[in-house]
Amino acid sequence: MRARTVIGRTVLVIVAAAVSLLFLLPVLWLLASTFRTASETFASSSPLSWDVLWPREFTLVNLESAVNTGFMSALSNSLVVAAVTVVLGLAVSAAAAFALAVIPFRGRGAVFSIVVLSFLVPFEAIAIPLSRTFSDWSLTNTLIALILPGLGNGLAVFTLRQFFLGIPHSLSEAAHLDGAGWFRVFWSVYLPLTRPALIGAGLILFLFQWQAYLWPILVTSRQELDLAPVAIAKAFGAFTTDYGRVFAETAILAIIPAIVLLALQRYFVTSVASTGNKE
Amino acid sequence: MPDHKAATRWVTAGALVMSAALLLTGCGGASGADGINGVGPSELTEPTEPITITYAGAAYAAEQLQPVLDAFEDAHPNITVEYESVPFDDFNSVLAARLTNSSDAIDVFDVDMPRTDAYVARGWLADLSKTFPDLADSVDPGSLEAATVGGKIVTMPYQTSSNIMYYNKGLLDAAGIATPSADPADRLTWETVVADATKAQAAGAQYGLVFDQIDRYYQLEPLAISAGGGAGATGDDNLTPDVANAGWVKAFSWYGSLFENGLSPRGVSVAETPNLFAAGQVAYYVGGPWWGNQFIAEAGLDFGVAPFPAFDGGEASTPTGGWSLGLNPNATADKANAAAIFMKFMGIDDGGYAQYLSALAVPPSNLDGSAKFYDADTFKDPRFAGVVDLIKYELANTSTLRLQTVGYVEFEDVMTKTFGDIINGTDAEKALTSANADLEEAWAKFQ
Amino acid sequence: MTIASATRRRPARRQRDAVAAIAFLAPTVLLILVLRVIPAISAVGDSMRSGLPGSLVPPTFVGGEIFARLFAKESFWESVRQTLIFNVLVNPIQILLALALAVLLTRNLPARGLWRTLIFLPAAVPLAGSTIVWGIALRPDGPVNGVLTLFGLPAQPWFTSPNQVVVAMIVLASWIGIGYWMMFLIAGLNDIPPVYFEAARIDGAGPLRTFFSVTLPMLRRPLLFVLVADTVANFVLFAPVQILTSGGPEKQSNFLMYDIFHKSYQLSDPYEASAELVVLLVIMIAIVAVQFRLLRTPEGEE
Repeated sequence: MRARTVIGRTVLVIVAAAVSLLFLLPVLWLLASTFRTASETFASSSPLSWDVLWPREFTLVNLESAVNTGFMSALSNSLVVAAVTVVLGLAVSAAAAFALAVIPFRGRGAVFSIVVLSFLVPFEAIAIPLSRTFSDWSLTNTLIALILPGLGNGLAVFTLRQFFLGIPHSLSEAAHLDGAGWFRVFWSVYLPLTRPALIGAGLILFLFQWQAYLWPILVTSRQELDLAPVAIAKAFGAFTTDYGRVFAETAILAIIPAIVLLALQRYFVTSVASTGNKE
Repeated sequence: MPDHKAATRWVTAGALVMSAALLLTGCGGASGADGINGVGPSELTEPTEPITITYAGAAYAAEQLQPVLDAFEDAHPNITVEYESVPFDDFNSVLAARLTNSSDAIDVFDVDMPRTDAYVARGWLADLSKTFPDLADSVDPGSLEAATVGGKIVTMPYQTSSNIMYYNKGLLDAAGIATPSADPADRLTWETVVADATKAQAAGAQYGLVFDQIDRYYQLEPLAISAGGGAGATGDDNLTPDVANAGWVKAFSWYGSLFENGLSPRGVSVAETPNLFAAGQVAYYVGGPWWGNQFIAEAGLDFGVAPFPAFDGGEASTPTGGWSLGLNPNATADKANAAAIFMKFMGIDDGGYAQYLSALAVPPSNLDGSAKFYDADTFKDPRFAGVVDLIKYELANTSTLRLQTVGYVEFEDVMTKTFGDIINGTDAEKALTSANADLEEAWAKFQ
Repeated sequence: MTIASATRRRPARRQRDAVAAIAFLAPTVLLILVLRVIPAISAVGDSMRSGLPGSLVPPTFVGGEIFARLFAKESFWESVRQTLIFNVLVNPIQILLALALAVLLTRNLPARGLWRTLIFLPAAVPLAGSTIVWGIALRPDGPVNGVLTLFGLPAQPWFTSPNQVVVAMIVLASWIGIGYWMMFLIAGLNDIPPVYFEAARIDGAGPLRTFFSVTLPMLRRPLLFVLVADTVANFVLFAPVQILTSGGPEKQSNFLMYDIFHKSYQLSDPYEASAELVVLLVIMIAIVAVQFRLLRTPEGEE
């Protein structure tokens, strides 16, 4: 039986690695294209040759171009906006999710319905009316304008609510009997048990801001406030397009969340293991 | 059940909130007090107090335009120009949002020349007839025509464009094809080019003939003109679509066949095409002279230039047009004054903006200023021999403006999609007939 | 604890609960109302107004006329059809594959954190970037066809064919979505106490039996989230269409959301776009409501 398990595990690892590689191929292509000129990138994509995924001539010209056109500033803007959104967004979303999953009150269903309806509405559909509102409130060209729409994220609330629902009520009841108020229950009992869900919700909040393109160009006009996707779009000029720069900047934008996620992998473990049975 | 009642209460409350919100959002829209009401200033006075104007543009990145802005601020110390560069692909939509959201977000902005009529209809442009009465003396005829709607001057044109045909000398030599001349008198026909391109492909070129703006009306209109099909619309105000006539069908059956026969690649976007020529994969590349810098930088690329071809027996026609500057019709008098001074600086003063830029992608509209463009180092490269005279000739003789109509935005949109379908294999007549119907539907609101 | 039992609680307790609920909910509800709901109402309101595109003149109220005109257009129904076809295909594909990978990567395999991150990586690439990369990869003379012909398979037209463009979109959307939803399912799988699997093993249940009797029921809540969120994400996807196909070839990729975006932004014509938005929202609400019903847990938490 041991031999079967070892073979079984080996097969599974090979499958996992193969699938990962398949998903990774386009990203590898992006990485390769970062370090070669755009001409070479296009020349190697057709007809197919082995150097599709490996630069014939390494060059840092794309990265230089990215730095020279202010990408580092745009990247740091994106990081700041995304980080603030994640921190504040998790706080308000987790609190709301807790109320919607744990605290009994009338109208809970209706409020939850509003939350669900809110993420059904595509953001692009409301971006123009919303930008008019921000313009009326004189909030254009501010970091607040960039951060705010990322905080009202119904999807983050929804995912946290689903995970909170999975935590047995016996835990909160026990805490109540010990004299704890709702905030104590939230902070000391529920939150520590939902780290994977918090990471998931954090991802949702983070990626919203990481990919934000339309909203920034509607509410900000000053170059200093450009976010990274806007900086990339500016590589597509009226007369020339610096594809090499596009690939380099896209690769940088892709790597950062990947590194963060890799670092957070150890929190993706069973959280209920320590609490025993669930109802 | 208790929660049912509670839910109903919530929904009613919600509905009340929504109705209130709807009423509130129904109002809005500030109107500019003290605005110029759509008419540009007839007299320009140098401001005595510092004033800042906002210029939204898509043609140049901020770093590229900085020398011009610096020179302007040296010449007019009291005026500060805040430049907002907007990504080119989204410029038209952002402009719409800015102008409709608030009346003072921008004072002066880039105007894509063919959209001038549409912008006038939208109420986006101030009348500049009194502000720049002598415009005709300073700019080329095509630019002047593009800036005039209903007899009134509505924009300050500042740059135009033209097109040439590049050929890859190495690939042509390998196929034994004689090098074309850059003399407009020896303009090749499309039929000849296709025959040669096919030979070049047989001899090893990956692609025989590729158009720069592969699915854009900007570059494909001359095909229709040369085939006798007209610009695409007729009637009063050019609001009767006419893209399915014999000339158009001939031109675009021919164009579709390029892709069907593998001379041109499918699935390649406009932004990608120059990279194909730069990589040495294309025998004949029809495009703008602004690729000069990129192609010259490719050390191994031996190329030459020739005139934009025409159909056998058809008139020669080349793409043209570029950018103008428009003035917000709701700007305050002070800002309009400062903005007009800036526009004059860009388009007229001492030859215009061109003299402050080290590298010009396209010829300025200003007749004096265009000398700087033709004097560029790029054009001194031996591979570009003959290009200056060629461009001058085309701008003076064969440039054809894009269709001037109030419905241009819809027109360009429908045609880009139609060209895309033709490229991907849809029968030209079918695609163009369908386009005609789409245009009729889209233009119904303007009739 | 259900709402019914809540009403049996002492009034003082109920009041404290209500106050606590308001405190926890207020920031989010306020943000959602101001930043999503109210602008949505305004956008929907545009479906009953009409005016020239981009005009600075305020639009006039026309009631249901825009809807009438819209429903009479064949191109609208074609959009609806293409949107439904795309979504009916892409959602099951993404979720089943995400679930399969989630199950695989919760086995005790070496370097599974690495595999998970690599499969998730596509979701971290900016959408515009992914789209450009796949646009080049799926060119008729591009690398993917190059690999296909290497194995003796015929080259496919992908985005250039009216019959295959939806398939190409599904490939692109799945490459991005599978890893993303897989993460949530992994979190959900990890939330199932090992005790249940132990019990199943003791009862002699094989892997398939365990999956259907233990894993899936316990995965209901995260699965509902993934199902609903993925459905919404695919219904509102439009950037690949905007960048690669502009709704073509022959309007076969003219999905509703792309048409809405295209009309409001690129043509500055928000009125008919708003009417289409209403239709899209109605479709999504209907589907999401069904999903909530299907994956309702026995305790009836809605």
